[in-house]
Amino acid sequence: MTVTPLKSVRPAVLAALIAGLAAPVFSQTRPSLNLYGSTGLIDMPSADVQPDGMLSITSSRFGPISRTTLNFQISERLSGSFRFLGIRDWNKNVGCLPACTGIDAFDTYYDRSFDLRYQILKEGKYLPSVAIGLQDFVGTGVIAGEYIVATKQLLPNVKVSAGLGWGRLGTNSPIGSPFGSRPDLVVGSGGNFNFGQWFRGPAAPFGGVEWAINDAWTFKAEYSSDAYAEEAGARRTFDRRSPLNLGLEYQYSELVRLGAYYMYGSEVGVAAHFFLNPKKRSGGGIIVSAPDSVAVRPSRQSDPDAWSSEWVTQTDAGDILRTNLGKRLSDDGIQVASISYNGSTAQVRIRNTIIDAEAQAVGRTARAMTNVMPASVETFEIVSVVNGMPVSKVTVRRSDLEALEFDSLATAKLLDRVTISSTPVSLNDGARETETYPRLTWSVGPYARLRLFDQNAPLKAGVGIQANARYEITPGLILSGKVTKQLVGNLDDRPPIPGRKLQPVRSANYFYDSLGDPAIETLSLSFYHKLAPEVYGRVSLGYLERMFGGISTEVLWMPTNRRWAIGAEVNYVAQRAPDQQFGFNLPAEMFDTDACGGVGQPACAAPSSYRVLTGHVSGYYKFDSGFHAQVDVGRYLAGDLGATLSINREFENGWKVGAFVTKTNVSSADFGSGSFDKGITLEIPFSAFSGKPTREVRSTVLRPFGRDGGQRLDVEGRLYGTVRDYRQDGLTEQWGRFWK
Amino acid sequence: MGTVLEMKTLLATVTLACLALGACGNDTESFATLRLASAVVKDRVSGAGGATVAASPGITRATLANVLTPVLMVTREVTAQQALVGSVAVNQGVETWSSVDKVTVSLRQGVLLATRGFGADLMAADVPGAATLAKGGSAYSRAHTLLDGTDQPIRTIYSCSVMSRQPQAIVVVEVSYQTTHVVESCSDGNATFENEFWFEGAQKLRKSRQWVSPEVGYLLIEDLRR
Repeated sequence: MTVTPLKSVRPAVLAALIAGLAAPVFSQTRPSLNLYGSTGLIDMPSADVQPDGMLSITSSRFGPISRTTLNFQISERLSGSFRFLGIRDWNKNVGCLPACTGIDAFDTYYDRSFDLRYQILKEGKYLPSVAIGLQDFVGTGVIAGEYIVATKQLLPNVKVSAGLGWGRLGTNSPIGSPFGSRPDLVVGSGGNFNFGQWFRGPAAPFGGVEWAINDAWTFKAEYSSDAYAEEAGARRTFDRRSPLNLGLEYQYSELVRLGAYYMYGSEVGVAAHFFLNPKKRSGGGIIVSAPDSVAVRPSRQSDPDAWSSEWVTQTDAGDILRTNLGKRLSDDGIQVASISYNGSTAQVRIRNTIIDAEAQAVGRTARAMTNVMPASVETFEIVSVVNGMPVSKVTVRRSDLEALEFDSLATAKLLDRVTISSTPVSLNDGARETETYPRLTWSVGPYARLRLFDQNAPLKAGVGIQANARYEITPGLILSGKVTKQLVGNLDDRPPIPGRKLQPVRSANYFYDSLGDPAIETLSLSFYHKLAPEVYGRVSLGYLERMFGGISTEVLWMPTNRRWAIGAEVNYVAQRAPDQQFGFNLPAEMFDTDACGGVGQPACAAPSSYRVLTGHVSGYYKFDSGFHAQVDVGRYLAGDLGATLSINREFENGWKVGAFVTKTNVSSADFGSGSFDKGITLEIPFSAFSGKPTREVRSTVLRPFGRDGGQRLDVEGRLYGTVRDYRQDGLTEQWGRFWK
Repeated sequence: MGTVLEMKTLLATVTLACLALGACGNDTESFATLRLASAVVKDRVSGAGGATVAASPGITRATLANVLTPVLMVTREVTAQQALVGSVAVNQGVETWSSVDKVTVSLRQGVLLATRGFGADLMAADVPGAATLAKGGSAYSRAHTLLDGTDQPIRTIYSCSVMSRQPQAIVVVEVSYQTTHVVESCSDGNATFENEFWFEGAQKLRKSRQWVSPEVGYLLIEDLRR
C-alpha cells in the first residue's frame, strides 16, 4: 500500500458536495497568520489555531502602520500575542506642528499590546470552528477590540470565516450594540485590564476567504470591520477608501511565510512570518556518537571466576574502576566524581557538563558500568551531583540493562524497573577523584545587549566582547566573574526618562548601558551545600549582578519524587555605581529624568547610596500538562512588598515560554507607565538548533514597561533552576534519551 | 618595557584570534556557540546531519587484506557517506558493529534493529528473522521505535510482506555472489518503506538495504567477510 496524496481526494469531495452531502474535513490550507501576527485572514482574525506549542514572529507593514508580533499557541485552544506597534505620521496632519504636546508629541506613535484568543468549538463535520478573542486587552487599549469568529473548511483548499467585532473591530458599518454601550476607557497609567469595555458598544460584521491555490501559494480576501477611525479618520495618516483587503501569501519553507496585500483600497502591505516549533528539532535528532554497548556478563556456570566478589578486597580496585569508567565517559562530558561499592552494588557519582538530557547522562553511565564493573555487581546506583550537591539517585538492575537493550518498548519498561530516590547530604566515601579541583573554566566571546521599547525606538542594541571565568575551588565553592566591553551600538542614545517616585533600581538602565564600558558585570563567590536529604542551600557574596552587589542566601526544600518545591531567599544588597566598577557611590546624574536634573530644571533627589534588604518565599509547582507555576512573595528591590506569579509552558526538550505579573504595594501612579510589572519569558535550549548535546540555553525577558516596582535581584545560580533537572520529573521527562 | 609590550601584543593577538573564531576558552559550554555555527555550516555543505563517517574512497580487496577484524561496509544512501564497521558487542543474538568514530548499527542475522550516531536513530525495533524474509509468504508486523522532537519514544507498527524473490548475481568489492534478492514492503497506513535483502544460500545475508528513519533514510550494509 502506498500513501494516498490528499489531492486525489478532491474529486471525491466535490462529488460529495454536488450530492449535497457535507464534505469530509481535509485541511489543506494551513492555519495562517494575519498582519497583527495572530491566527487569521489579512487584518481580521479567524477561528483557526496554530499547532500546539507553535511560536511565531511576524513583522508586517502597510501604509504608516507597522507591527511586530510574538505569537504563541499556549495550549491546543488558547493562544496569546505580544505586539509592538508603530504608526508613522502620527502628528503630521493634526495641525499641531511644530509645537505638538501630549499624545500629539510623537511623530511616530509606539505602543505595545497583548491579545488572548480561545477556540471554544473545534470544527466538526457540519459545525465550524468558533473562537473568541481579546485584542489589546490590557494597557492603553489603542487597538483594543473583541471578536467572535467562525471558520469552516468548505473544500479541502478553501476556508471561509465570518465574525462580529467590537471596539475598533466594530467601527465599520456597525449593526448596533447588542450588549450595551461601551464605557470610556480610563487609561490612567495603563497596563490594567479593561474588563468594563469588553464586547460592549457597536458591533460590526467581518469575514473573508482563504484559497490555497497549491501547497505554496494562498490567496486571501476579506471584508474588514475596522474603520481606522483614529489613523485614517482623525489623523489622516493614510487614505482608507474601501473595507476590502486582498492578499497573496507564499509558503517559502516550514519556517518562513511571506505575504503581499492590497489594503483598504489605497495601500500596499507586506508581511513576513517566521515559525518556530519547540516540538521539532532541526535535523530530526540529537547527533551524538554512539554509546558503549551493554556488555553482557558470561553465565555463572561458564565462568564462575568472573562472578567472584574477591575483587572487593583489592586495595586499588576503587581507583582503577573510577579511572576506567571516567575514560569511557569523558567524551560525553560526564565526570566521575567518586565511586563506592560492595560485592553486589556499585554507586557512581557523576557530573553532567554537556548532555542536555539528564537521562542520557545516566543511561550512558549505566552502559559504561556494564563494561567496567565486575560481574558480581548487579545493582548500579547513579547519583547526579550538581555544584557539589548530590541530588537524585537512580538505581538500575544490571540484568534489566542486559535484557532491554534492543527492546522496542525499552524506554517504558526500564522506567518501570528503576527507582529514583533522594540521597544523603554528602557522599564522601569511596574512591574520589582528586585531580579535578581546583578547576578553572573560562571563555571569551561576543555578546549582544538589547534594550527594548525605550519609547524612542522598538530596539536598541550594543555588541561587544565578554570574558567569563569560573573557578571551582572545591566542589560547591565557586568564584565566578564576567567582564564586558562594548564595541558598537546605540545604547548610549538617551531615551525619554519619565519622572519617578521610587529609587531607580532598574529604570536608570540607560546610565548602566552607557557608563559601564567596560563593565565588571559580576564578580562573586558562591557556596552550595546540601543541608538535608531534600534541602539545598546557597550563599553568594560579591557583585551579584550589574546593578547590585552584596550577599544573597537561599534555602530550597525540593523532595525528589514530588512536583512541588518551596524556597526562601534573603539578600542584603547595595546599588552599584553605573560605571560597574567596584564602587557603590551613586552619582547624581543617574537620577536625572525628563522632569529634573536638566538645564533650567530642579535638581533630582539623589541619594549617594542605596541599600536594601530584599527577599522572597517561593513556591514552585509542575503540572502534569506541561505547565509550571511559580509564586514569589516578599520584598522587592525598591523596598516594595508584593507577589509575583509566573506561569510557563515547558517542553520536555527544554523550551520554556511563559508570562509573569508582579503586584506590589506601589500604587499605579507611583509605578508609572504600565501600572505594575509584567512580561513574557522565553527560554530556548541551544540543542534545538545545533543538533548537538549542550546544556546551554538562551533566555529572554520581554517587559512592555521597564520600571522600578516589583523588581527582583538578578542573582545567578538560584537553587531551583540548578537542581530541578535532576529531580525525578526532570530525569524522566526525556527518559527516551536513556538509551541514546 | 620590552616584555610588557610583548605581553600586550600577545594579548591583542589572542583577543583578535578569539574574536575571529567567535569564542575561545576552555569552557565547553561556551564553545557550544562555536560548534553550533560550524555544525550548521557542515550540515548545509554535506546536505544532511549525521556524524561524519570516514569516507573510504575505493575499498579494494587489497586494502581489506590489512583489516584484521571481520567487517561490514555501511553506506548511508542519501549522503553516500561510507564506513567500515567492526563487531564490538553481542547481546542475545544482536551484534553491534561500530566505525572508528563511533557510529553503530545493531543487527540480528543481518536484519537492522538499532542505530546510533546518525542523529534521527532507530532506537530499537521488533524485526522479522532471516528465515521469515528468506521464506516469504504470509504478512507479518514490525515495530520501530524512534524519538520525537521532545525525546518521547514513538513506536510505530508496520505491516509487512515479502513482495518478490528473484535470483540475482551481485558483486561486493570485487567478489561476485549468487544470491536471492528479496524485497520486503512495509506500511503503517501513512508511510511506507521497502527493504531489500540479498541472501546467499538459505539464510546468509550478503547485502541489504534497510530503512532507518525519514531523516536518515536507507543504509546499505554489505558483508565483506569471505
